Amino acid sequence: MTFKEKSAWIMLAALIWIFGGYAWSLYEAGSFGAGTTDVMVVTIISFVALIVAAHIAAAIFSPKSANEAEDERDRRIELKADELGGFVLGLAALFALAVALFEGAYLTANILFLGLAASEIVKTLYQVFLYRRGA
Amino acid sequence: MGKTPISNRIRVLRAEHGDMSQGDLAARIGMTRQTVAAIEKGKYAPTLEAAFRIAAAFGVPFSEVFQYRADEDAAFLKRQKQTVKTDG
Repeated sequence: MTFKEKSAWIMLAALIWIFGGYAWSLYEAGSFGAGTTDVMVVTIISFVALIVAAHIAAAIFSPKSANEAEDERDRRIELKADELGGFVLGLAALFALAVALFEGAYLTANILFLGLAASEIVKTLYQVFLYRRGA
Repeated sequence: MGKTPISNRIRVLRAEHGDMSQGDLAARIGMTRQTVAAIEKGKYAPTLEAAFRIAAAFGVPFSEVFQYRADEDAAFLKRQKQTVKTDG
C-alpha cells in the first residue's frame, strides 16, 4: 500500500469517527439546527489532531513509503476522487442554499449563490486556459 | 481505471534484466512500487512519458514493452461500429 493510500484510509476513518460522532450528537439533541461554534471548533481541532497523530504513526511504522513522492497514479486517483467529492460538496451547497432561502437568511443565501457561481467561473476559466496552453 | 487494452512484458523484461525488482524499476522511473505492480497487472495505463521511461529503463524499444489490443478496447470498437454505420 502506498503512503497516499494509507493516508486516504486514515482520513476516511477519522472523518467517519469525528464527523459521524458530531452528526450523532445533533441527532441525539433532536435537531440539525442545534450546535454551537465552540463545539464545531472543538470538532475540527479533534479531527486535525487525530489525523496528524495517525499520519505520524503511519510514517514511523513505514518510513520507506512515507518518504516516497507521489507519482502520476496517485495524482490521477486524487483528481478523480476530488471530482466526486466536489460533486457532493456542490449538492450540499445547493441544499444549504435552499434552506437559507426557505428561512429568509438572504446573506447566507447570497454567499452560497455567488460562491457557487464563482467556483464555476474559476473552473471554466481554468478549462479555457488549459485548452489554450495545452494540458 | 480498470483493465486496459494495453498489455506489457514488464515482468518478463525485469527477469531478463538481472531479476530487477518492481521497487528497483519504480526507483528508476520515479514511480511507486505499487504503481509498477498495477501497470504489470494491466490495472493502470501509464502516461506516454512514463511508458517511454519504462522502455528506456530496460534499454529496449517501446513496442517491446507495450502492446495495444484493439479487439479489447471497448471505446475503440464502439467508434468503429459507429463509423461503419455512418459510412453506410
